[in-house]
Amino acid sequence: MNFEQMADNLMLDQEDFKDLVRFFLKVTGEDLARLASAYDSADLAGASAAAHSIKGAAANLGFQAVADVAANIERLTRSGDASTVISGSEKILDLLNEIRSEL
Amino acid sequence: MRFAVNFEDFELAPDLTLTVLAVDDNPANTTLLSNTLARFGYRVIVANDGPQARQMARQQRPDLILLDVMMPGEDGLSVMRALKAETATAEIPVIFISGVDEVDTKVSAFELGAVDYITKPFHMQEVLARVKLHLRLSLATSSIVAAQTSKLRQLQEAQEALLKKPEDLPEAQFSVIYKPLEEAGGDIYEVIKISESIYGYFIGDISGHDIATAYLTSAAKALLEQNCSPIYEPHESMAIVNKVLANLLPRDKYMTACYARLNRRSAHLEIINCGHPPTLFLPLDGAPQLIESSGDVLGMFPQASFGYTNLRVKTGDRLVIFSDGLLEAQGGVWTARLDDLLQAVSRIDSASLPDFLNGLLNEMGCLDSGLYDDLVIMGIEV
Repeated sequence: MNFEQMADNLMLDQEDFKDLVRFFLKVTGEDLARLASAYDSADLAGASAAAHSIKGAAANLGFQAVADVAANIERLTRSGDASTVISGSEKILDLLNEIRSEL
Repeated sequence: MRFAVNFEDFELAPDLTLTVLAVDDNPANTTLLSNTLARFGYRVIVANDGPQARQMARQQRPDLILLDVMMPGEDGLSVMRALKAETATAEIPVIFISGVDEVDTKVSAFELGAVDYITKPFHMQEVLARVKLHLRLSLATSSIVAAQTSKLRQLQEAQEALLKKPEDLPEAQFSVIYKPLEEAGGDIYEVIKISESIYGYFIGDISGHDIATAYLTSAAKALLEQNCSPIYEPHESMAIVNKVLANLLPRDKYMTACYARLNRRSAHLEIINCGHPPTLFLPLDGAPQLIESSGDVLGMFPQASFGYTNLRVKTGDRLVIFSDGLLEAQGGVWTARLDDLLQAVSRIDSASLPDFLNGLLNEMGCLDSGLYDDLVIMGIEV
């Protein structure tokens, strides 16, 4: 991941950007927990909202792969399909770990 | 609010920093907006849900609101309805922020009175450009209503506090020596707080010495306060000041000026030269240099072009702006003494800014009696 380029896109310097990424990892972790508990209680609207939140923040920072998986979960849960919640959440978790390891 | 009809509001927010309220349920998004906008001189306040957003809008009266549409509980559209229903917040421009896939909400947003719509993911250049545009539009509109009141008040305030002292604005880190030849001095200086990290420094020299210049001094200062703001680039600020002065000044009068805008956070120094002598840049680790860039004087031509210099600076660097009085203390024209000035700098060994300025005046022969012209010299430290 080219953090310098990503920071540049947001008109931030690299250190500010990395701080923001750390914060994003924390917030997205919380959103994933919300997604899981919504899934456990069969609350599809709640699951969709959590995925929406992840999608927006990830896309803003330039983590398109995370945003794509979250968008897919959001779209399917909105139409009543929860089949990708677990696999998608795991995929997002992997991607977040990959981001964390590069910080 | 930048322009306030109500004097009490004016007292609540004495500085002209523009405030943006960013509303999004995801704190990563508000932090991103807040970081970037703050970097460009805006004060950013943040709300992470609808009720909090309404409360902050009511209590702090931001100049603009960036509002996320999809939020749990009270969504952006409901917040918008509530804002428009309340007089205190109805006039604040609102830009909606939302995902590209929510096209139909765009229509609802505009129907409710949104001024614009930005889609996620943000493109920061776009967010900044739109924020700037709508602040300009909004200020232009509200200024028509409030112009008479606020102009009178600004003029009065300017007259009360014509000369800003370094201790009035310690964060501006400047020092100044002002020696008017007569009571109605033709030289003026001004220091303007544009945001927490951005300050504007202005020195002007109005041609001639007569009673008209005294009036012009306060008018020019009011103009500067009004037009040196984060939504204008420094050359745009000067262009507006120029146009007004061109209308205001008698035909044979003009003002030479130098306007420096220093952003301590991004370490950028921009210098606009309007027919004024060069400025002196003193890098902490490097040789002193004269920043010369020719440009038209203020108040002569409605369409003027100014000299522009953009410098990267470091902590400890200094800039010295001065009027031609510094170079003409011994008579003669200032252009002949620029080399003397650089040599004078090399002979001064003073740590503090005030001592340095005094040393420079001494070296240039300005501490003797018999000044030929007004003199103002201002030092700025990064």
